[in-house]
Amino acid sequence: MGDSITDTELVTRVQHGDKSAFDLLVLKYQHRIIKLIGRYVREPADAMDVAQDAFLKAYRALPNFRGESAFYTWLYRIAINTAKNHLVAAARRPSDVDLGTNEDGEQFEIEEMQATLETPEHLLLTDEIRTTVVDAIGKLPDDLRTAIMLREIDGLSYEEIATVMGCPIGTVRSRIFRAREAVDLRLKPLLED
Amino acid sequence: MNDEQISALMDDELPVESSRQALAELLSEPPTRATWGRYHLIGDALRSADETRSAGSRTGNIISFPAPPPRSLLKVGLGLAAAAAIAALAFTVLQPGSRTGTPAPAVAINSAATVPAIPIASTENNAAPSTPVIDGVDMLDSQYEADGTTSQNVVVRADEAQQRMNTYLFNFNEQRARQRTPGVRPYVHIVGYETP
Repeated sequence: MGDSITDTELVTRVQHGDKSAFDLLVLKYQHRIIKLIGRYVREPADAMDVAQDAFLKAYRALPNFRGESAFYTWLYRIAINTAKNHLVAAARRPSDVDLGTNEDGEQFEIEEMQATLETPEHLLLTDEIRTTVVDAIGKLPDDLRTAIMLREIDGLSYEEIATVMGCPIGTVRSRIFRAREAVDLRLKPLLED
Repeated sequence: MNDEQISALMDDELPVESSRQALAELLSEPPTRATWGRYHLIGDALRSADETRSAGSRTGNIISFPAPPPRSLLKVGLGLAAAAAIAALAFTVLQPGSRTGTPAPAVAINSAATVPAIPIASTENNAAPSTPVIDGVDMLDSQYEADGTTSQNVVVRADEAQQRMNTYLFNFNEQRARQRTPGVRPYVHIVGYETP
């Protein structure tokens, strides 16, 4: 994961007070972060909570983010630390303590951010979504399927894909978009249910 | 802002200025933000499916290949196979010059210590089919193959085997002496059968 121009731009916007820019970062990274936290926290509902906590910490710490590392690397570190802290706290915590209290008066901010970060259930990566996507990819013409797989699985740039497939970069861009569009047609009704 | 631009934007494949402009439009249009989320979801679902498939194929390999036997058993097996091969060689190759032509009765040493039944291939079909004999070795359960070879299980008397080994060593030394080449060196321990 290189230092993305989009990430840098979004981070700058968040630092200038644009909270909706952070929403795009959440939409972009939430599944990766939940998956990462899932390695530490087995219970999916807990993993979701920890992920939300990690994003909240990231949002609060973002004004101090200097861009010395890629945003995702920085977020990754926060997520791991949050997951580890959760495990330590869970080991110490009596099971009947109410965790909803907030002692330092930041309840309002937390609730506000939780509303921003709230991951709709349908955006979670379920088996049904995976199956639908894989099935849709399988039905694509070869050139579209190859292009999107080289991009999403192998992480190649458009230029590299153009070299591999022997076509102009514009064609690669179009093929990847058409592939996404075709899969999205199958995915969208599923998410709207 | 069209969806192709969103697609290129999420791949960081738009020029910097176009990216800024596209992001500004993206942030101001909730429907396009939903598209942004779904396009990322497609990528995450593909990677997740790919990881699951890779993990499955790794597991599949482990299951599909039989586990190797424990090392110690392997050594024992190799040892037994080597011993069997040497025994078969001794009874088929190291034969005395003379042939009795008379099959000896198949009698096991001490009624139990028979040489393990070792399949032996032979092209000699001159013995009577009813009583196949290879140099005095009784052939039991003979199986005649289409190409003229015979594979059978054999039972050898140990005293006869020792006698033939001695005859072989005697003949071998005599031949070596005639050719003035070293025979069996006196300090070489000769392993043979011992009659009880």
